[in-house]
Amino acid sequence: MKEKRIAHVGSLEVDISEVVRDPRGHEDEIVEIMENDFVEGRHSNFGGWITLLPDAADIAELDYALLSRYPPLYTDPEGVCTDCGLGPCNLEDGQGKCGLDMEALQGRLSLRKACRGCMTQMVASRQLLDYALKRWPEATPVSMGEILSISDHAPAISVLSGIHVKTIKDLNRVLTYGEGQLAKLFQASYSGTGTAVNFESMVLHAGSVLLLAMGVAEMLKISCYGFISAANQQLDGIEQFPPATLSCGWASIESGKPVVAFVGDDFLPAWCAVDQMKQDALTEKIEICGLGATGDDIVRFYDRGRIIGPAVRAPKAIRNGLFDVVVISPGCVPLDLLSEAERAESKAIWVGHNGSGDLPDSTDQPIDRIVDRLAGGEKAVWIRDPEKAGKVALQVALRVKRGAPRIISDADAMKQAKGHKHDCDLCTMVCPVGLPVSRAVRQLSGGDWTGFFEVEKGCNFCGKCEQACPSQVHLRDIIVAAERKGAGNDKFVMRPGRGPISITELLQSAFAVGWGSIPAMVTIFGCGDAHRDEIAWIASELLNGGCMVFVAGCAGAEVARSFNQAKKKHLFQQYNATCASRNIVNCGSCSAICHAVPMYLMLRPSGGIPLFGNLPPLGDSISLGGAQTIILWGALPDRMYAAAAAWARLGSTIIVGPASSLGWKRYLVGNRYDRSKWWVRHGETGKRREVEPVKEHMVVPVETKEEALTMLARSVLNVRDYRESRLTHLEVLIDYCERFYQQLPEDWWLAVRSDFELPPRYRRHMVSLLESEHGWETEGVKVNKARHRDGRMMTMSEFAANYGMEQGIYCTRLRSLLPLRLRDTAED
Amino acid sequence: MAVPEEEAAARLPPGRVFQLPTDLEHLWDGLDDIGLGLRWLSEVKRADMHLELGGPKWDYKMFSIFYIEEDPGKVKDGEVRLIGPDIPEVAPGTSLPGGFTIRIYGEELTPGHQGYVSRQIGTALQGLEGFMLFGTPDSLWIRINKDVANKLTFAKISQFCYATAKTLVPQIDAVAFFWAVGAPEIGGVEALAPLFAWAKEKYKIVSAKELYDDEDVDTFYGCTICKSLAPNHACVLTPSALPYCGIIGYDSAKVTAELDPEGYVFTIPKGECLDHEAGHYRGVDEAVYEKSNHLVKRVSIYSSVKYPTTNCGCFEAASFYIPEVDGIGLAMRRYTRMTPLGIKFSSLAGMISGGAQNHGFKGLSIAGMASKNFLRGDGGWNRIVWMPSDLKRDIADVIPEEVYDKIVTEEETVDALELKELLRKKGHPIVKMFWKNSEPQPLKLPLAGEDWPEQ
Repeated sequence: MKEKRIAHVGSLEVDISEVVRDPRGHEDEIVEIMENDFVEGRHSNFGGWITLLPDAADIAELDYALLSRYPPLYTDPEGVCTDCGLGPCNLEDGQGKCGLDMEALQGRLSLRKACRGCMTQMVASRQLLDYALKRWPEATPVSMGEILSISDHAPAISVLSGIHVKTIKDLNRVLTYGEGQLAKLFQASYSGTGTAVNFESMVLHAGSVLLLAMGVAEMLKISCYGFISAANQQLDGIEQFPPATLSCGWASIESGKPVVAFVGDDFLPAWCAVDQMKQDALTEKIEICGLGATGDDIVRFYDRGRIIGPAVRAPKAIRNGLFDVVVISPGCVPLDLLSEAERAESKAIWVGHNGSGDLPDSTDQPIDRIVDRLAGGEKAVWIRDPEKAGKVALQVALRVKRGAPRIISDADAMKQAKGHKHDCDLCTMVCPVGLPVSRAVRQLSGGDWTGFFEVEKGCNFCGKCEQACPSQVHLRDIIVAAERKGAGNDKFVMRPGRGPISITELLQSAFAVGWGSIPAMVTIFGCGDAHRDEIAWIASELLNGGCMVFVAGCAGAEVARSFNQAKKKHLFQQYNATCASRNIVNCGSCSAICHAVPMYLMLRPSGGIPLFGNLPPLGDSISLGGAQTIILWGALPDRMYAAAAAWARLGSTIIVGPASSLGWKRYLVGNRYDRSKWWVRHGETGKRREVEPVKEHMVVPVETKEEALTMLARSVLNVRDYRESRLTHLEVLIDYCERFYQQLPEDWWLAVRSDFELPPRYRRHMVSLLESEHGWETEGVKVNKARHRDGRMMTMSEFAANYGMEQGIYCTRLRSLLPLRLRDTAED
Repeated sequence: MAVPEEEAAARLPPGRVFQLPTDLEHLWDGLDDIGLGLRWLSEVKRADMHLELGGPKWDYKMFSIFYIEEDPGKVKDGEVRLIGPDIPEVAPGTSLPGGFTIRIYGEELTPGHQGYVSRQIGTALQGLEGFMLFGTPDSLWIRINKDVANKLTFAKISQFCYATAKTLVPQIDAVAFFWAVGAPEIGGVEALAPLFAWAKEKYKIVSAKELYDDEDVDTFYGCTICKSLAPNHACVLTPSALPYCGIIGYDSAKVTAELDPEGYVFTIPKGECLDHEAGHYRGVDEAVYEKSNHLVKRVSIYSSVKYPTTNCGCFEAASFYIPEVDGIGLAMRRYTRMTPLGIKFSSLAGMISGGAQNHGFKGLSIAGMASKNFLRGDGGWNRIVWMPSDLKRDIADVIPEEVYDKIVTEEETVDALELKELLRKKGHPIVKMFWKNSEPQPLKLPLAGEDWPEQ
């Protein structure tokens, strides 16, 4: 029998087995976490619990609470299950042989999609970690940065795993845990026999595992690979960190120099190449570009790197024919980039761990020989060693002299356009982002390129228009030609990603967010699968509206292109970059998604909620009281599906649009009319209390950018809104509705707890509507009596005690998060 | 009967008078063509400027006085008097001195409403299209963008203020506005001199009304807004004790409690004074006990060492007891290096947040350090031994001169034992006032939530 281990939480002596189900092998870590991160005040009220290296089921209470309010809504369901040899089973007729019903099958497929998304990052993180383990001792210390506190660890990792990561070895430990979880989830996605909600709970877990894998990647990037990190900066001046001076876009590439482009998730070949360039004094002689995550990564360790665009637009970029060498790694979406490189006569190096097409593996060949092969006419090689791939790329770039890019001539483009079938609209009809392609063709037949300039900005090169065209117009060649025409002006200035957000920095605006002076903290993710002007419009609107905006992934460079003609500045030059109103923070590439939704970090100092193995109180708290929302604009890859799940589990609303929302097939939406869903437990009595139907949805689709903003305003209304923040949130919602739809939102009155919260300029009008349309008793700008949703008339103090939470009282949806004294006695 | 500012402007032309809609149903009529709300927060560059009032060019000769008039005859409801040109009437790029007053009457209004309403109007004005507002009421800097030059008038700005005030504070019976724009045709800056002199005096009187002390009032206020996160925490607001969020002051708390009885601010009858120095009141103890789920029995408003008030967690600064020197250190959030406790501010903040009563530690606002009652129960500035150099410079004017040089900063040491030597060497007042025989006498702090031994 092992001796009891005691941790000192302030003045309390706590047996660690009271806070961890099975502490064996982790005793020292648990004591350290409890003694450093547990707050006595909170512990004596609520107790503490660390879900150490948990399975999905360990956190399911939170998931079920969320999913009972926001149940899955499946669109375009699959009816036949072919997951095992006993099938196929047609579930439209009833249950399958394993007992699975049709809704549960959708849950399985949803989980599979989330696992696929998680897996792409997991592989990328593993690649980085294995390479780090080769280059550095496993005891090498790691952190997100040395100066600013990120609560002294990596929350994306610790919140799920309960592990305080200090060395590369620890990272290996947590990533191994993540891989194990992913395997379990994948298994469930093929043979699980639970309910749809059960699968969706695992989808949320897949999201959390994804964040952990992203956290591992970020920590390695900062600690081992020299990426810039805001946590290595002093707070003074952080609003300009990193400086908005990075030149990107086609026109930033210096002409006459060889150009090497890196595409995909794996930046290691680029990192090795840059290292070599520095050693060989080649930085002035070769241009390094990036597309997708690699592009966003390169600029965090190499200030001469250029971001060209998102990964999904890589085929289009390669067809531009400006790259001498393209180094391609697996990415968030599978794309046939080797064919595009061949078409553009660029030399291609595939660096994936698995093969591509019939390329033979050249990893073990000498560098010179590979270079000779490529310079001598071979089109592509496969090299699995990043150092070798980087060196080959540079040498080939210096040896191959290419002519001008092969772009369709104006005459040929016009000739093709003239040959189009009149009155045919097929190309526009099949375009997944609804671009007016046919109009552009008609315009071009008269020599006018305007339409194609517009189409080009929104096009992600899927080729559906070309396939549909009965006249075989080479639409994609024309689109590339249109891009080249504008390429001379395609130069924008941006901030590279800055990595993490520190708690210290965030707290500077905590009150402004709580009090509604900052209407919302908004994170924008996007993968280029949408018109890039739309995402920039959304960002600008939010910034003008006083929001605190974060971006990560390919969205960073997409919004950066936005140019303010009056101020003559690009977006990142117009705004500061710290956690404050009208600031925009670029966190970095896809893996920086783990930094970019930081509101939950505030709960550590303000509520004493530790950030170790402690997801439920964080998710519960933000879902009831967080003005943080994510807009996923044009985010097609499955990775975003899992990322959305991760942040939904941490309480944020996720707004998905525009076109990619059609492909998601599963949403988590609330129903404002079902009063039984809108309740919380009162923190002083433990009793259930009806509340407003606010934070109405968890994952919700929208079609237009205007809808996105309106939904955003809806999503930041929350149960724990203070008076002032409710007022701001209502005002923003009404403003958007008036501006875009010339009407009040239909359900605004359900969010009214007091006349004090009605925006002044609408107050008189709203009060009169409360009386005339909803039967409240009012006088001037005051409400004397309110009508509860159940029809009863109440004085305002009765209303406050029966609808919504009283101001400044703790509440929760989870029994396990009630104060200890109420936990066992609270009614169901 | 002339109003004071008009008397002060007696030598100026009489100007023009506009009448605003005063009917509740029509307060906002005609404002539709001007953007209102947060997203219109404006910064107007010189090149975009149609009209500038005050600012550096005029040594900030632009005032705004907001005051409550006791004589109803002096406030004609909805009246706007304008002396000088209106916005559309000046040439683009014009810069002028000037001033405006907002005069309010209400049978039920008290001086306490003044700060509240002026802040609400000031905040609202930040969200007026093309209108930039900087500075303090006695030295404003206003710019109006060319984009709104043809649709924004002083009457419209007044109407926006009027509608905001009447909506937010139903106790207001009448509001009148007075604008003076010092264009050459009315005599320029010289002609406004009597008005500036009047405004300067009036501003002193108006702002002085807010300066009363804890002894002058019978009621304190409490705030539990952060209880949703820190379940046992309740803030106590007195005229001298600002909450460390800095969001709400005593006057605002008073008005908020009155306007919103179901809200998060509540009254605390202060009751019998049990310890004047430490700020210990029976009424405060009772209120805090009720609001802290019966966990905090006693608080001293002016003490960090014995029975301090509790903290939620978002305080911008904190005080901490350093046993090695029996003194108190201060640190703030922006200070990211080590403190003499051997921990950083972030760890310190983590330790004392969450609503527990931690003897020896207290969350603070930096503005609150200027209070004459600042940590009075512990010895005030005579007990402060260490603070970050940045903070020391920032608040140099509130630190008593005789202590200033004796407070150690991180530039000298962050080591508690070295600190002891430095204090001795510098002759810090603590050595004589609190130490015995030149040696500190460390207190044994009770554990969080426990009582001090009876003396």
